[in-house]
Amino acid sequence: MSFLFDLISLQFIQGPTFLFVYAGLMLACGIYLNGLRQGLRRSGIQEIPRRELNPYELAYLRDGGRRALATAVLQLEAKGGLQVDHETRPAPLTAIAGYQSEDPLEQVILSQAKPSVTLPELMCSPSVQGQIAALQADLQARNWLIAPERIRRVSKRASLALFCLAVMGLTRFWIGLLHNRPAMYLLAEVVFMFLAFWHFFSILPKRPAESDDYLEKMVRERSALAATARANPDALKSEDAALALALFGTAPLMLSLLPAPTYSSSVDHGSSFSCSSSSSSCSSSSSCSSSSSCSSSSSCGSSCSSFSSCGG
Amino acid sequence: MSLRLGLGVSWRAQLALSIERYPQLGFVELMVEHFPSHKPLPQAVLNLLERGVQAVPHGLSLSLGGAEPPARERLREMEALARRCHAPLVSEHLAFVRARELESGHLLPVERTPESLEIVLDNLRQAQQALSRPLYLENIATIVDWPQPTWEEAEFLRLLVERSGCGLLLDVSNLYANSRNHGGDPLEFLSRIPLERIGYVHVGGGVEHDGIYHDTHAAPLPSEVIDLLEELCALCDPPGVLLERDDDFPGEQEFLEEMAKIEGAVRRGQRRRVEATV
Repeated sequence: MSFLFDLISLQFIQGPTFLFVYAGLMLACGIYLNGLRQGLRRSGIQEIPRRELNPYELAYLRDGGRRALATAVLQLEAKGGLQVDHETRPAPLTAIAGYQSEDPLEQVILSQAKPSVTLPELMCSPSVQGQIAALQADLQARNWLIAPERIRRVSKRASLALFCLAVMGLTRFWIGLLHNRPAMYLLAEVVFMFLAFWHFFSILPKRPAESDDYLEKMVRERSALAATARANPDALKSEDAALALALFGTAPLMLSLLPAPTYSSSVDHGSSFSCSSSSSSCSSSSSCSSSSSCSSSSSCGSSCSSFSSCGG
Repeated sequence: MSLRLGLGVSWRAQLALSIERYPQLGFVELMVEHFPSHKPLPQAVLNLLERGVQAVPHGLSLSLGGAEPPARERLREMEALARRCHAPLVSEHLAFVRARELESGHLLPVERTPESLEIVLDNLRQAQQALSRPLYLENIATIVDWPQPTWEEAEFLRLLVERSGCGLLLDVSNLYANSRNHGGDPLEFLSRIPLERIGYVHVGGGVEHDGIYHDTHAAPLPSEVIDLLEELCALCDPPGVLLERDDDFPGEQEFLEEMAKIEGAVRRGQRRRVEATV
């Protein structure tokens, strides 16, 4: 057993030399994993000929399913397919009789909005969740989003490297303590390694660089829309409101679609809502912890792994 | 090269989208106090500049009519904005807004006396020295006026412009407001100012409260202001005409209607001027 620990912690290398070897190993792992991380970003958009993204696809890219659905609702309102009562919170959404749509997500929303439905109710609808999942899969297939299995692969390799280096370092530290040897530099190296790995690999990119460039260009070109949406949202036409919500998540445009905040002395849930099921929950802040899994309609998509945090 | 600005709008975030989509946009006016030099210009403004839209810094707080000289820091801010947006000119009001440390919060009228004229000329000289662009002076709307002025407003403006070499930013709405509140014929005013020194023209809406007309820039353009603009354009060819809207911001449709009113008045005035010369 002792031989195993000695082997793991490279006891045949002298202490000061080990510090350098350990730092070298950390650096090598970091370079390798950073290469993998960069590789994720270079996925490239394969779609030829390139089809422009519609507002709710843009919304999904920016912030996930919840924003995509709200955008699709405003888009339908702009097209005259949906009546949205912005005076009530959450706004009741009612399909306009006779309006037809070719778009699958719009079709599902329209079918749910008879007689009327709210955005939180739509979010919980299995058919809407199914469509949002299909939207996510479509964006992944078109390389606008990185496939979750690719993210998981990098995440697993990073976890493995961290685990191996941590076992080696901590074992050596433990043996050092047993033999009354100074091991504080080693401990500092181990702590540094944890912090560096956490910083670089806890959040892995979910979009390739091309998607980010595209979004950045859209945001830059539509900055007048952002300014007006923030300062004077009531003056926007419905189609502009949909695009503003998609790109900038303009709060006033989203507010009427969500329930009014309720205040209680114990826990303030704000405008959050949840689609209760045993396995998934979504909060209005669209983030999930590493221990929870998200439904396909949350902004977390399906790329939550133990080594990655989610959210737009 | 002669100055040509075209049709413009005072840039406000609330109107950014309408402004960006207005096809005939020639220039925007940027309030110096809204764009401090330590902050980057909004991307929406940069997009306009990239598109070739001109920008004119417009000051509120130089207090050129005040007893103290204009603050160096404020002049630096105006100059910095002018450089950042490659402005062809800068403009400020003929007013005072502070006395020592006391800020009025309003544009206050300047006493039209020989002493006051010298003070304003001195302030103008200092401002012109600090600025790399030509300075244009705007007539303000007043609710009260100094008693027993030596000169009428038009004369005072003419003297200032002639002796300082600065240009004139003629606010037609202020002219209308003053003629309505204090009396006087705005057309006679136009005949007494150096029209060839006009850099651009302001137009904006206002409301009447208790018999006093307030140039609030928060209402649609009144037909009287549009008519006065037409009269001005029948007399001269101002390089630019700009809509001011500071509150109760219109939607895109109403904005386009306001701009159409201005366009129409300019076109009608130009037609009359051409017909008169033929």
